[in-house]
Amino acid sequence: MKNRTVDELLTEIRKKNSDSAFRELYDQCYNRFFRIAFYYLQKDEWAQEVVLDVFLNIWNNRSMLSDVRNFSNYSFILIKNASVNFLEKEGRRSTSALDSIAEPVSSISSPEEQLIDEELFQYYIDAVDALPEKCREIFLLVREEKKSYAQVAELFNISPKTVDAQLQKAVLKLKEKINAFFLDS
Amino acid sequence: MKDDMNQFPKSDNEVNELLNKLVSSTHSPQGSFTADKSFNILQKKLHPAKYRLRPYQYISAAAAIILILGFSWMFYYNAQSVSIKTISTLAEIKKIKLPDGTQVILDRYSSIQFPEEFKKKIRDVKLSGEAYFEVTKNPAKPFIVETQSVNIRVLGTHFNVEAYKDDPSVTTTLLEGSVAVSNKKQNSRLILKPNETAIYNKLSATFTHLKKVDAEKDIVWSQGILLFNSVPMQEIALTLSHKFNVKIEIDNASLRNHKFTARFDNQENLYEILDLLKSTGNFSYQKVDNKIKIQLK
Repeated sequence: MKNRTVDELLTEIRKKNSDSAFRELYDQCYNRFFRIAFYYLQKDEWAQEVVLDVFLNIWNNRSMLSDVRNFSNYSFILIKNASVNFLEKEGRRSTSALDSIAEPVSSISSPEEQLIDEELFQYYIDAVDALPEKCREIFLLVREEKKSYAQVAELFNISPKTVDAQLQKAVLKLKEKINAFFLDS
Repeated sequence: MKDDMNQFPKSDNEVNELLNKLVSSTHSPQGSFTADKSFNILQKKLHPAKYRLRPYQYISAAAAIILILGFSWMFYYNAQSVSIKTISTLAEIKKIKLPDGTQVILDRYSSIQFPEEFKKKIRDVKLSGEAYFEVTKNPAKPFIVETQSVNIRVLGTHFNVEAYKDDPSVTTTLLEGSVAVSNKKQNSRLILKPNETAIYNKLSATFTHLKKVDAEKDIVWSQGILLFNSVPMQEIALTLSHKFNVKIEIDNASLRNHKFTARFDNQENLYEILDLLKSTGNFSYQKVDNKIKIQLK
């Protein structure tokens, strides 16, 4: 589990210029950041570049971190903007690259639907992030990476039954969140 | 929006489908894109050099960058503003439109220089030879014709300038509006009204102010017409030397002052003109090297 909360880490980075706190923040947030960036960019190399730039940005502007009230929201917007800028720059460099990424975006039919999708996506990312660590990892391994229960069981040295239980727990929580999203709105 | 597409409660199937869609919309980093693998790249970005800059070094670096940017911008801007266009004529008369819309008719064997864009507070053109200007009005940006010895400053007007390098004088004739003519030292200055001419004598550095001239006559050249109305041979020779880019020498004083009246409308060449003049003026001419020598018969 997390040793220190993100807010504690941010304070330490800001006040003490702590390299180690920054590394801890990086380890905690990297996967989340990557998933967000990939959602917009649909290309591993680009997502990596954007995420690293965002971390660089956070470090370089650490004195401003005190203004950040909600880091998960703040970082989402940071990554989104960086991704959009990256796409624009990339688009200027070569239109063919833009064409290839235009497809997954255009599969979403209308701009309004896309907006909903993005809001829902952010909701989903936060929900995944809020899952207990083990529960989250199992969910991602099984659902994203299509690993079998047996493979995951071996990886965590637990029984396939436990894997299933954890997975169901994650799915249930996420579905609750999805329902809550539509209830809220 | 959300109301029509997403009534609540949603069916379990719909929610499952949404979750599937969300799961497949992105993925976690794999292989060489994981947090651990990527951290090395981040560190290179964080510490590009072996040593890290101290705060004041950052400030000096920033200042240096700003200076460099500033200078390059200045350089760029100036380099742009000096991108000057030169148009010269040989045996033809050319109509030119300047970037501000000003119309210029450039006489034969003349040249004009102007920036491709009038960025400065003045519209600055340089003239050698003869040209007729119809200047587009712009009181905020005075139009200045610079010649070797005289500057003509205008706001928007029609005028003719005759400023051949080797001539002893520069002649400015105004057709419309008003212009101020001054020499380079700015110690002598004349304001012209329509149908007035300023003749600047380069040797004495003084202006002669001619009033009630027939200004239209001074620009008949722009239609390819040569008009001499009781003009001494000396001046005709000068005009012809400009129009045809040759040197003309007259070796007789009375012939130099002999006055002719003639008009050439049809793009006659130099020899056609001289042939016509020589019969009434009783002279002969011959071509020696690049010169025309005129003698009494």
